[in-house]
Amino acid sequence: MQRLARSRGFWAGVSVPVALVAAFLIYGSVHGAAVRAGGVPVPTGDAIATAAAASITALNATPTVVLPSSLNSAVAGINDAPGPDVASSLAPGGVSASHAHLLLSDVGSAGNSVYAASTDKGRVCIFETDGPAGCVNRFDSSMPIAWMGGWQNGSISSLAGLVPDDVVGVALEEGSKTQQATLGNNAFYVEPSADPSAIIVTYEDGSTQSLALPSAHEKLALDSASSEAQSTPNR
Amino acid sequence: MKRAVVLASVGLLAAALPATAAAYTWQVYAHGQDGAGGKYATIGYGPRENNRVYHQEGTLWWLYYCNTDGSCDVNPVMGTVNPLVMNRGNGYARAVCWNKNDNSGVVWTCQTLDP
Repeated sequence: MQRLARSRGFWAGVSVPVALVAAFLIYGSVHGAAVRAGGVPVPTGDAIATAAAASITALNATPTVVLPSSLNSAVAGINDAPGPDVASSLAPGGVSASHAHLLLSDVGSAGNSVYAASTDKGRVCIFETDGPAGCVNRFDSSMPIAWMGGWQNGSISSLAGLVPDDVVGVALEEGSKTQQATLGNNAFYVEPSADPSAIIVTYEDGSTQSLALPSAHEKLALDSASSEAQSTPNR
Repeated sequence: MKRAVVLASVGLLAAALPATAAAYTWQVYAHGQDGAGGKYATIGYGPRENNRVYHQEGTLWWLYYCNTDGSCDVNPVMGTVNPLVMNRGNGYARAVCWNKNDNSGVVWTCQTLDP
């Protein structure tokens, strides 16, 4: 047991610096198209915890602030122990409410703010005033940006998220129109003016990526959630 | 839709998790693998302080509540972040998580913060 522990300690000591160097090299040399194209193998597990953080310059470029108390339950939702059913790889680690970063302020119709905070596992969590919260471990082809949204009265009311440094624009596709999101400090926020069908991400090399949003049909399906939920196999 | 492989649910089976606030504990109400399109809810109604899901990041999940009259929350939240934390409660409802496209093979867990 002692040998195992020692061995793990040794490899942890070696793998973490190696992973950091690798993340730096990936970020410095091929950050951008290769990453989002999925051409760069992204390591898995906590060793790549710096991947998202390394792609968010704003974490170092903005001052540290204290999260408002209105976000206490969101912070608790991140920090509270996930329990034994949750794999450690999914547990984001804890954030300190007194070491957050204000990325966007006074955005949207309610003057919302968007905050980010690093966890003790190196992941980055996003908090939106009066909105949901969540975390990101890495940016890659399956997670080009981290986003979350709220609904009001059956329509998407707001979308907020974190983007890596090479993203220069975020917009919503709304029929034949495009609505630009407020983008700054690696964060975006937007309130749709119509039913959006996709998030359009624009990169500094001019390329774009479309991320589909729930369709009108899916929105209607929400209405039947109660009855469907009653028949779920685990109930 | 790929059939969900549900491993456990706390309404009946899972153990209470460590308490956070005074008398509130996170309860697992659904726990499984794959099953994109599936909706999972607490067995019964009760006061809900919060709702969250741990899942493979990059996959889309929704969280919301359903009321005793059968109507469901018109103000759900959704996202690809992990965990997705709703950051809102409901006085008396069933908590629901909706797996929109997670067939990653990673085990997901839906939890509600209850008194």
